[in-house]
Amino acid sequence: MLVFLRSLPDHLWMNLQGKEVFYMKNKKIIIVFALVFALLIVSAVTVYVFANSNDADNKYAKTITVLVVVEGRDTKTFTIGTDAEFLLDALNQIELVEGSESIYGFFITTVDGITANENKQEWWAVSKDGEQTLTGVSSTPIKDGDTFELTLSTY
Amino acid sequence: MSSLCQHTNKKGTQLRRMMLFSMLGAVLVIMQVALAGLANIELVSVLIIVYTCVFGWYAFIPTYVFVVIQLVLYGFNIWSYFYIYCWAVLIILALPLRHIKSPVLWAMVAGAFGLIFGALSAVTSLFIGGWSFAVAYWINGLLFDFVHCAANFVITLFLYKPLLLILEYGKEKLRI
Repeated sequence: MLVFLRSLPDHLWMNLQGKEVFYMKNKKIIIVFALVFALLIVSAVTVYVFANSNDADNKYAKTITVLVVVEGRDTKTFTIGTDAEFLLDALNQIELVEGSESIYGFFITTVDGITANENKQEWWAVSKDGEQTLTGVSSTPIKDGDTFELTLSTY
Repeated sequence: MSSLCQHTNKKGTQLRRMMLFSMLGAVLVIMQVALAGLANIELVSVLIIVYTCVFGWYAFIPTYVFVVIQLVLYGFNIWSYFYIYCWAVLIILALPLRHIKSPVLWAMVAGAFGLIFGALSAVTSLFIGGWSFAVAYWINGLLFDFVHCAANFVITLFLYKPLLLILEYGKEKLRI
């Protein structure tokens, strides 16, 4: 590493040492941006605290966590406060899923805007604490603190 | 003769530029895939910032190489629209500041981008379920935006300088 650094042209080597480029020449711009950044953080924290205090006032009987897992994409987490008895009703509260009724119950086709591609043999698997549920989403009971995963899988 | 040399040089530069930008796009894909398991901890933001600082408007090329590869890899769905515009926002935000080489400034830019990432993706939600859904979606993901903000800030603070140096060195060596 040191050999690589020493082999750099002089001005780049100086950059690395902070002598030429990395000086605080534009202090004013940096200070203004720091203020904007601070304002953004304060606003976001205020919205978050306000939203959560509202949730507490609502006093739902249960709060569940739903993870949407798609390979290659960041896992998304949804926290749902609900009085619903079954998972589908809680998911419908935030319009997280779409699908159709079948003889086996509700069949999920789309989660969070992502539709399972039948041509690629994809489907949405529902699991609870890492284990696939034995019941359909419309008949899976929920209790406070449950964590469910909706995973785009292939068969 | 001199005009022929100039023409050959120009073509050579274009070829080297194309190769480098394709490679930089591939680096974005590799970094995205490698860190996909860690929610909201990513190197794509700092890389795009450094690309913008070094190549200016040309940063759009590796970024959209990355976006196209993502679409090929994972298919096109409603969230693909988000990927199409979100990185462009970062480049446009970074372009006017690109001559300021302060890691602290760029850490703040990356942090701010991490913080508004959920709001940017909520724009897509707007078309799925309207305003109420978009706002609920944004608020629901705020905690992850805070993580994204902090991670981007720390990663950029430490990696901006070495990455910038490597890329400027490569740019100089390749005469781009």
